Amino acid sequence: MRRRVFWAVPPNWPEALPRDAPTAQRRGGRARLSRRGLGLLLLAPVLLAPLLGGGTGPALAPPGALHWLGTDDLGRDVLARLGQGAITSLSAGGGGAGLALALGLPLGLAAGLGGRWLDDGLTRLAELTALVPGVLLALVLASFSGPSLTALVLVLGLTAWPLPFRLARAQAMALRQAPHVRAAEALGAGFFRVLGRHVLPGAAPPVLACAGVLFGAAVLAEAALAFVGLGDPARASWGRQVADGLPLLGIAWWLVAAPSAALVLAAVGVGFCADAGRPPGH
Amino acid sequence: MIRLALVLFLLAGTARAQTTAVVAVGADPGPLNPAVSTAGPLHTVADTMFSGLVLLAEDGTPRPDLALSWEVQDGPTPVWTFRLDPAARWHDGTPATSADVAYTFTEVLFRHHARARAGLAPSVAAIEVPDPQTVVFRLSRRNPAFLAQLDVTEAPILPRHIYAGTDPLVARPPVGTGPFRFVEHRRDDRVVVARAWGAGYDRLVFRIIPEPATQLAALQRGEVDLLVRVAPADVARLPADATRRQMRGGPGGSNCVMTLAFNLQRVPLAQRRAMAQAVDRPALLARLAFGQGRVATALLHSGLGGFAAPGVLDSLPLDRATARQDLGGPASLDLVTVAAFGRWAEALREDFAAIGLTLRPRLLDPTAMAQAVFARRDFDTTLVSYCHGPDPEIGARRMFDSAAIAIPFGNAAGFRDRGVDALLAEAAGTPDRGAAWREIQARAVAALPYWPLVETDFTAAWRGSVGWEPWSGRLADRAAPARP
Amino acid sequence: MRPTTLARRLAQIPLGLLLAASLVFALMHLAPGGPVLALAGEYADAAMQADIAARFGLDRPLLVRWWAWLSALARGDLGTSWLEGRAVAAVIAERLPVTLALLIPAALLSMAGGLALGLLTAPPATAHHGPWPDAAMLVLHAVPVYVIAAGLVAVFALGLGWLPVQGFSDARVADPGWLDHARHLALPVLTLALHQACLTMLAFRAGLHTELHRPHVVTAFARGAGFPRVRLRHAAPAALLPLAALAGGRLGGALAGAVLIETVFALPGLGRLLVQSAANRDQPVVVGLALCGMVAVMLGTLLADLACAWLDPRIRR
Repeated sequence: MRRRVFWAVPPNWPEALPRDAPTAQRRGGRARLSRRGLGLLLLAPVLLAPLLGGGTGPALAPPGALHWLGTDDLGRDVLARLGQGAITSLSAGGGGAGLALALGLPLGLAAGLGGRWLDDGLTRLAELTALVPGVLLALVLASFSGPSLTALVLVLGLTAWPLPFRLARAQAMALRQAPHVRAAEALGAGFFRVLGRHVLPGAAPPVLACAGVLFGAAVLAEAALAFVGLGDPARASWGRQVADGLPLLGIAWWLVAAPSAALVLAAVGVGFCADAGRPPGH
Repeated sequence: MIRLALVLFLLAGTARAQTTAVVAVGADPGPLNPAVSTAGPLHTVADTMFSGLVLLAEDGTPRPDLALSWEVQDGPTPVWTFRLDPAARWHDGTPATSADVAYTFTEVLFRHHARARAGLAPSVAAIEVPDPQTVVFRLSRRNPAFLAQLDVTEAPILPRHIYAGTDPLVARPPVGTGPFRFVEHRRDDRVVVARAWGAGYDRLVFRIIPEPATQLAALQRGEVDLLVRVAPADVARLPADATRRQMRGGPGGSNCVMTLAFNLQRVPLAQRRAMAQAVDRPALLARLAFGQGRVATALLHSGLGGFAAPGVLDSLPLDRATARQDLGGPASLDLVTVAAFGRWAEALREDFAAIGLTLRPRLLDPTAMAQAVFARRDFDTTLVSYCHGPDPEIGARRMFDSAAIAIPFGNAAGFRDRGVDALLAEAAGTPDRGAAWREIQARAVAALPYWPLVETDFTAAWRGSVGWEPWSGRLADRAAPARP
Repeated sequence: MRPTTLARRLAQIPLGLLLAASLVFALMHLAPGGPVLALAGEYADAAMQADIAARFGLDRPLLVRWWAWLSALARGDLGTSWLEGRAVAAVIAERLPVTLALLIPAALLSMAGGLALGLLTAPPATAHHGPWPDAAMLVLHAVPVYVIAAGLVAVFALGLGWLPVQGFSDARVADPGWLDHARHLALPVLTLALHQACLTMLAFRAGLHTELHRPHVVTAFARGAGFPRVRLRHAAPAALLPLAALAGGRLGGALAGAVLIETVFALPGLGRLLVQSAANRDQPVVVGLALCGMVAVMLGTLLADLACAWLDPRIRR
């Protein structure tokens, strides 16, 4: 989708930049491609992980030829557990971050562009959400729903949306006065058209930039929620592997290092892919 | 979780100018009134400031504490007479007398201390105070565990002149007769106590450090001197110069058995037998307790000596082929327990998966777990660490007594057996209780409400050139009868 | 921001407080179990449980209790902690300094660090550094706080022996000075700042990226201003916008975020108070903390909006 440019800068404006700036701009396309490539590269082992085999051995064996990433305190292969945990973690992280973005971005834009009462109401709601202790919410939900991935993703998304909301709101408030937005309004574009066509493309990048962060946080939070009864402790997940490994950090570093590394790779990969998703020119 | 073991240690020997020992504990004790709560973290700290009538040595032998001597007139309704220490003073200077003892038992312990209320109160007919230094307990029936229920953990004595006419549940600065007096309590930070009498450290600072790894690092750096409880995995990482002592528990302590309890209303005997035969208990001991403890050999802890019935579990050895037959096809059960036992739940899940039983762990915070298991009884199986204390009447009885079914951390299985209830009543009244308790265990293995897994020991560790002498129940200088 | 707007925002504060506290009140009511386990320990029988429930009015209907709480609140009374028997306000006030001493330096440090890194690695410098600054920051953020803390403790406390590993002050010192507190806070503050700097840097860089292409920035380039000057004078102020928004909202999340740090370093702060009071079902304390948190969050958002209006004239309204 091509964006219409309303301000008085020629389409080839990067060429007009001083000498030290344009290199980056001309390389922009390639840099973005390499970023997305890198992101996918980082995600690849994670996506392939479920295909790995399993096996048990002695408890707490350090990484070696037989068990590449060692074994845990129950003698299970850490690499195999990583593979089994990938699905839970990716759905919790992806679902949680996705839901947070899906709620936070449009609500934030609406708050930034809409009237003061809409803004005030949505902002108070975000403040309220940021405040209610997630653990307390999970505790209550767990007593009603029992362990379930859907409830987990809901809690993760519903507690994380204020972050993208705030970022989107600030962007929208800044953009509402931008010439192209005013021009669009002057030309009679409706609220939703202005929002979708003219504000969203400009406001989305800084918001999407936090996708990786949201993803990582959601994967870790999944473990915390499993420990108050939400989420299913019977399913392997990276967050739970980290949490289970922490008490043993002093004697078996690989129990924490391996799932942390998987989590970091995935978070960075998601972050890069989201970052590469920003439209050209931004 | 059951009452945590209390182990503290005392500096033996040299008194120096203003010596301070820093003790790391894992949780804040809360309001410092040991007579109204059975919470473990509370007693670890508060028992240094209070006294019971007697003190229990590590092997369970009663020694003088507030009472210097005692005698019993035996019979169907025994009469115990205690002579109190005439020199005993509350920390505010008021003499401690028999009126304090009578007040504490009738007004506080029998109303608000859950174990004294359940274990002691039913056998006490009357408490009399003929003179300020004499207390007479008239029992309504024989109670062989009587003395073991009078130490500072089970029955700490409160000052009547401070509490009389007030609500004992309202927190106030503690005033006791123990070797240390209260200085300050900053919640989640520290409790400071200073020596009131006797020899040893001038001050104890209890530092509340929730993370085991942080406790260990603090010991390494010398920020604390003593860890009351070292996580099993961390014992190997203790500094080389640290003294460590592995404890079973003991009086005022623990004797804890990690126990799998079945909801008898929901899980049929065949499934219970299958689970018992599917658990690899030596592997649990090695992997989760890091070898610190023993595979349970009876329903009662082996530390209870003649009461335990070793070998009673041998009829159900680890045998997954038989277990699979007993199970008779795929099944699915939940396991409701506290988050702290998550690894045990996970290990059981793997063991049961091997025989085709799907275990669905639900990990909750302790309050929610108590609500689900003991109040609503909405569970198939649960994991409880039952701590048996110095006498089966104190910690083990509640597992089998049908009156303890709705009581938190009592009879989790919902075990109700007239024969066993009769044996419990008989055991409470006969001098030779061992036979009755062994019979109870034999019946309980046949009905299988519980499957004991591992007796978990715990390790205390301390550093310094000065020697600490281990003590259970409270500080060891109280074991010496001499008061100043 | 116009005075009327400011007045409107200030007027909304009581409403927000009421909503937040009532919500948490209801959640505490729904949470399974009561304060019995925390107060009486294990094995409390039915009579003891009923006694404790009656003591705190738990046997009355929710609406009745809510109304009683609200009437007390109208008189400025936050209630009494069920566990400690002390006024909730006193319980919170005692812990507040620790949490502020942790959060404020960490926020300043992470802001300063994140801004500096963001400026240094902003486009077009990205072309030279490639995606690595972003990656490094994301890695840092994804590493569990516990592991960062363990690493810092291993190096600065156990290895070099410079700093203590736990507590707000030395346990052997009865009356510690500010220097002792500062030494004890150094590692927790650094851990939290490292964790937060990532978000700051990412948001700032993304903002800069957008701003560098705006007409006024392009104009500045066209006038022949050097890149560093353009970046600092023309692009950076507007790029601070999302940051200010983040910082305002972070005040609320910070309390939850502080829990881990306070637990790992054994600091007696508000985060641990919140978690433990929730575990103890000490409802007055949890609700009181929610109220205080809501005040902080609403004031924080207001300040952030004021800052945004000051940084960027476009958003005044």
